[in-house]
Amino acid sequence: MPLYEPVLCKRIPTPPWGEISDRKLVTYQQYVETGGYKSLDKALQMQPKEVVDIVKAAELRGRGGAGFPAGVKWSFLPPEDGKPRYLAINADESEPGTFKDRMLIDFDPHIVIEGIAICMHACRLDTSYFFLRGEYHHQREVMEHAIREAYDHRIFGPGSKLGKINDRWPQLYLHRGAGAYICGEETGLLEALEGKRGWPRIKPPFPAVAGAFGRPTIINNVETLACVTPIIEHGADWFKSMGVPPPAGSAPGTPASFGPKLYGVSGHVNRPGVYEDELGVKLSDLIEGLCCGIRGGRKFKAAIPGGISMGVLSADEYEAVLDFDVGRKHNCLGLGTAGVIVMDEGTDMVAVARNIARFFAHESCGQCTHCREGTNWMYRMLTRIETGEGTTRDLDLLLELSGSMGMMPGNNICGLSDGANWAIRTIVNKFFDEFETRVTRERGVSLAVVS
Amino acid sequence: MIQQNTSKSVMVVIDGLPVEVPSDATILSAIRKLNKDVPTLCYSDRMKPYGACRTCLVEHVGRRPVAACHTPVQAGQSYRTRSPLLSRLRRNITELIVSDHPLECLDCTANGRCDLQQLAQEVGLRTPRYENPRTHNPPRDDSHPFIKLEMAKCIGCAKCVRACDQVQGSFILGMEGRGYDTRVIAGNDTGFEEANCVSCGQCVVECPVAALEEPGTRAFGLPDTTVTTTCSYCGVGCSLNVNVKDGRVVNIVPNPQGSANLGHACVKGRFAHQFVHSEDRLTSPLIRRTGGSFREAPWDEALALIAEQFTTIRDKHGPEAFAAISSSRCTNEENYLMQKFTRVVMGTNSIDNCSRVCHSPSAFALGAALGTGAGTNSFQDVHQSDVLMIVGANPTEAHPVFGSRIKQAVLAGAKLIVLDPRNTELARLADIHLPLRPGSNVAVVNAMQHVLINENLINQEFIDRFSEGYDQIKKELASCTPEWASEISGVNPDQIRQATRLYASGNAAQILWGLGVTEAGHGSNTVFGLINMGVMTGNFGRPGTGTNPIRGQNNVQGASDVGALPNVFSDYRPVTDEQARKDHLQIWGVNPPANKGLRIPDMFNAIHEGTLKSMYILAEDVAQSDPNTTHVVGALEGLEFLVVQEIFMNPTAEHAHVILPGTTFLEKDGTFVNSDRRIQRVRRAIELLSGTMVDGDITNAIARRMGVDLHADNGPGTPINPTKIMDEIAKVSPMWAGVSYQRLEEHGYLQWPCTSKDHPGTEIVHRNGRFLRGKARLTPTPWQEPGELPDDEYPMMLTTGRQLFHYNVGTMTRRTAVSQLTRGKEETLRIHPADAQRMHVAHGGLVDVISRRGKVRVRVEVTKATNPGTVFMTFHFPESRTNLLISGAADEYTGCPEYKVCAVRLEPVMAAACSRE
Repeated sequence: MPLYEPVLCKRIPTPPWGEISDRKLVTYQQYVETGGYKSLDKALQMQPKEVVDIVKAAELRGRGGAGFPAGVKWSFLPPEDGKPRYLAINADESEPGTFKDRMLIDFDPHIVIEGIAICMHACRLDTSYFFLRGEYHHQREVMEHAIREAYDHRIFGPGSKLGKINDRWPQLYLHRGAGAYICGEETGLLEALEGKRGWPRIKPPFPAVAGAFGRPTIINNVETLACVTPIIEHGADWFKSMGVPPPAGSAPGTPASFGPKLYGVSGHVNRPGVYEDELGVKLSDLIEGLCCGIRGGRKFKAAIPGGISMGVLSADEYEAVLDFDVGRKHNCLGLGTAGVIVMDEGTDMVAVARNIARFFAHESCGQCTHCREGTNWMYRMLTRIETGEGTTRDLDLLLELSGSMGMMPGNNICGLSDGANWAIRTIVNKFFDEFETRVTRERGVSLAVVS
Repeated sequence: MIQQNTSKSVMVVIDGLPVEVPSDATILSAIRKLNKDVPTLCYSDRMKPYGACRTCLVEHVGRRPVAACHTPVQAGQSYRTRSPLLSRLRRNITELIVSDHPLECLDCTANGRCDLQQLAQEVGLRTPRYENPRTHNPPRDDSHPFIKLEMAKCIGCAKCVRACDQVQGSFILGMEGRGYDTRVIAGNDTGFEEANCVSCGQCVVECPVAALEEPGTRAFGLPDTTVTTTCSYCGVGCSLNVNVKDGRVVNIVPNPQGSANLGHACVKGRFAHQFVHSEDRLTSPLIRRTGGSFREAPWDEALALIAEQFTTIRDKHGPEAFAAISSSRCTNEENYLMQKFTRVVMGTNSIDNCSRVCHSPSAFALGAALGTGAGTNSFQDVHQSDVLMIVGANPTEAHPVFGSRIKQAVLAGAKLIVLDPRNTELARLADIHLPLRPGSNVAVVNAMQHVLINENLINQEFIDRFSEGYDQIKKELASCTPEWASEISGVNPDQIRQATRLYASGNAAQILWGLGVTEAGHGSNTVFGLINMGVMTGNFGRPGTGTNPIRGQNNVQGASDVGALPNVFSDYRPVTDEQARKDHLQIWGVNPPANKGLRIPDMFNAIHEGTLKSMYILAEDVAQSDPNTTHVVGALEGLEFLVVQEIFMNPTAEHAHVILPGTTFLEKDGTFVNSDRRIQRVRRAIELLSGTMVDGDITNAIARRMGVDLHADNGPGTPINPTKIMDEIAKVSPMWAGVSYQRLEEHGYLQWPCTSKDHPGTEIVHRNGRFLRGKARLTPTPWQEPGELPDDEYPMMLTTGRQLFHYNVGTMTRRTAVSQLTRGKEETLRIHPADAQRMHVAHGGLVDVISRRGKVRVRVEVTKATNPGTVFMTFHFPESRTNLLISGAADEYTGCPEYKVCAVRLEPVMAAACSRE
């Protein structure tokens, strides 16, 4: 069931409700005239705890990739102690194929800023850092302007309508990344925010307990915070009227996929772009409906559901339902950021795998052994295979390696190598023939390590 | 890093075995509590868990595997350390590391003790299956004399980087690049020296492979024995493991179990040991020919001559014609023997040691005001202080291991107040730095006391219950306003107020001081003032509080503790005290002399006056290290008979009639006492150098030849027995009564007071306001000017001190590769840029430094580490003869000289004169 009216794209003309060419920046004035900052005023009438409860009741799951319930995350915070508590907004949108947050920042920054303010009120956070991807130069200008507008209209700063939080006037700072993928990992982001190398931290302690500068910190994605605004405006039930409920008969508390979602589609489609729909749109509907079909009328071969770390869906999974459950049903990591990359029948999957491996090898931070060495070996072996110099031995080793690295086998501090391993493993497994025909047979594969 | 665990304990199950651990313990500590282990590459006890190598994976039964090193236990959960899954994962990890590691084990200094090699063995890995050639092959960095970096072997565990940050606190090393190309760099990839590396070598200690190595092992191979002993440089008392092969020292590494150093060491303790095997060690007694030159002589002849001369002088001129200087570099047992020799054989109390010229004011004032002549708290207390006040000390250079701990405490959030005329590393780190003029300590400390009283920052209850003399000091301090002190010291009065408030704000505030207090004029009064501050705010007897001197030499505490002082026996019992004399008569069988003996400066005066005829100097280069060199040398020349016991020829020995070759700390057994009253064992690591004798044996032999048995050996002709001597020390020293070699072996150390065999030793003295003196004494500290002030003719203040890479007059360190380091090469006069410009002296140029006593020529280093109006020199370089300049002014109570306060003027040496040099 497609979305009846746009939620996050309310002020951003988006097909089928509007034309992309009509998009322009929504200023503070225009935002307020179209009902903006009403949610904040409403939230400020409520006790902070009530706001958290509404978000919890809406079962809003994080839009940054992991899908962790935002309200639950908010409730992990320890009681206030009068010292600073932080909100870090993760706008380090570096996952290849992902550009949904960019659209929100580009055209409607105040829907995000309103969400930030509501979150600060609800969680009693006095200072926010908007961690923006280093390469987003234009977005920096937009964001700086929007933040200035928010200060001018007493959303933040002395005299803020939020009042003092932890005995401090609320502040929102823009912090720019320096171009490292790993700084989008929440604790890598915190390290970078503190001015250090963006090395993810070991957990526990989790950021809600000891995050930025050792203080309780909430880290939320841009789109997640943008969703908070309409949730407060229309309520949890309204939010849950969209999306996919948990399967009938599942245990209470089973996370579902409620609400609207921005899908950023790129690749071999006729009209790539960011579209809004309910969670649970079918891959085929997304491609053929909103994206006007595959480029040049060619056949669908594969799609990455949400940023390259999620792995791949093959032609057999063309009807896959894109909700948070997609991973479990279709043997990939998950919905991720819903940055869908579509590939047509002419795509060389070996080259795709090699390119993905190159990305992860380049972006590995270098802390954990498996990721530092493993991503590099993946890239080198895939390069060999692509150029026809690979052997069956490389292929076996590649599968074994990718099957044993990541947070799942406990090998890593963060999820970067999970992404690498799921991407490579699913591509090789789902398109094994393509790989097999590219390698020469070599007997005597060492059985030193039995996987 | 060092936190007291107050959490409750929980039960977990490891491999089926239940174990009880604190609820915040890691799985690894639970495993180790069961004496089991899992492999680790990036974990170190001394640092925060890092969790990156992932070889310590364990199975959380029913869940995914987790890294044991950083994951906290969960109550009631089971963990498995071995399973087929874990074997596979560990093997994969090992294989990946080895895939980028040179397989050149035979050519590697870590061969046989390499963590990676051992892990590969454990998981059964041979050749890795990843079969491209290694692509990382950067060249070795051999630029540093002690720390060699070979990045090709690096396994990316970042232990070195973390050691530099979390143990040393220098933040020199870092990681550069990402992913597979991550590598270790020093500074901005400039190499170690240019990055201001302090050469502590901790990165080498921590490196699990040989990516970082030191030169010793490459030259000699693996050691055949390892001996644990105590460092003989500063007063921190680092426990060291000396690795020996074929009778030579291969290398020295910090003892991971060392209680004072916690597995850390500094450039001197760790690398400056080659002097032991130096070519110019004295190896035969030398007797002065009538013409003044020396001839080698057999031991028999030398000892016979000494015995005869000492006897003659004693019998002819009386006991007061003899004096001895003992050595704080030697063991407690040797010092005890030396004072016993002086008192029993020679019949005089004229024995002193070099604490006279360093911390005698500290020992005196602490003893007089509180009842014990030593610091009140222990090193580990700095981690429990919320405010630290450091006065006249530069521990990051002079006591580097303790300096690092102070830095770590400050980085962890402790507030820091520094009183120092120099802009030291800690001053730069301080919350408040009071850059006072040299010699103005008493004024500033008085003003701080004034502020305490005036702003009612005092703990009245503590004062009333546990101290005496408050009313009097209150009256005397009334006029000591910060404005008054500002006139004298040049410090902003508001800063004095702020510093005082900060000190008083601490729940546990500790004062630490160094020679900048005791050698800066009226040292005893400054110490009294600091003690007053502690008493008035109730900062005593609890963890993280107290007043603590940071002592300069390895055993300067011990030498004084065991009685190498002219006014007291061991344990600071006055020679005039009847009970003490009775006790000594009982043990020694001789009635010790009752009149106080001569202090070191008095000795030189007595020679000039003609009353002192003969001296016995043990390992103390007075001609270089004592102030007013001309006066001292003149005195030595006037002696009828001078015996000097040394390991190297030096300016003092040049005036001797007999020179006896002694031994280094690596060649003897005994004990040292460090700054925090920690008695630790010194153990012989290498055999005696042929021709030398252990210092204690020499003293004992002289006594035997003079017909006296000091009860130090097992019979005539046998070497001294340190165990027996320690037992005697315990008998005559109530605060050492519980000390014995057996207990030291068992515990590793004991901190005195240790009053009985079952007393555990004392970390914190004066607990619960129970001062050993009874009530703490608040002592008035009237302001007096230092012995010397600048005037028109001598407008600059010279202050002297140590630098990191050398020790005292450089006897030891300058015979080692430390001298190859850029900052260890030569003496410099450090001067502020503004002064340099005003005086027309240039960086790197030569300058004549002229005081009222003399003139020395030295190279100039322009630096903001020194404040305007003050210049700084070390005394490590005998050729620059810094002490020639120093005045004879001294502390009124203890005679401690004013090394830190000397008026000078500077005269630039013209380029033409330079070239003639």
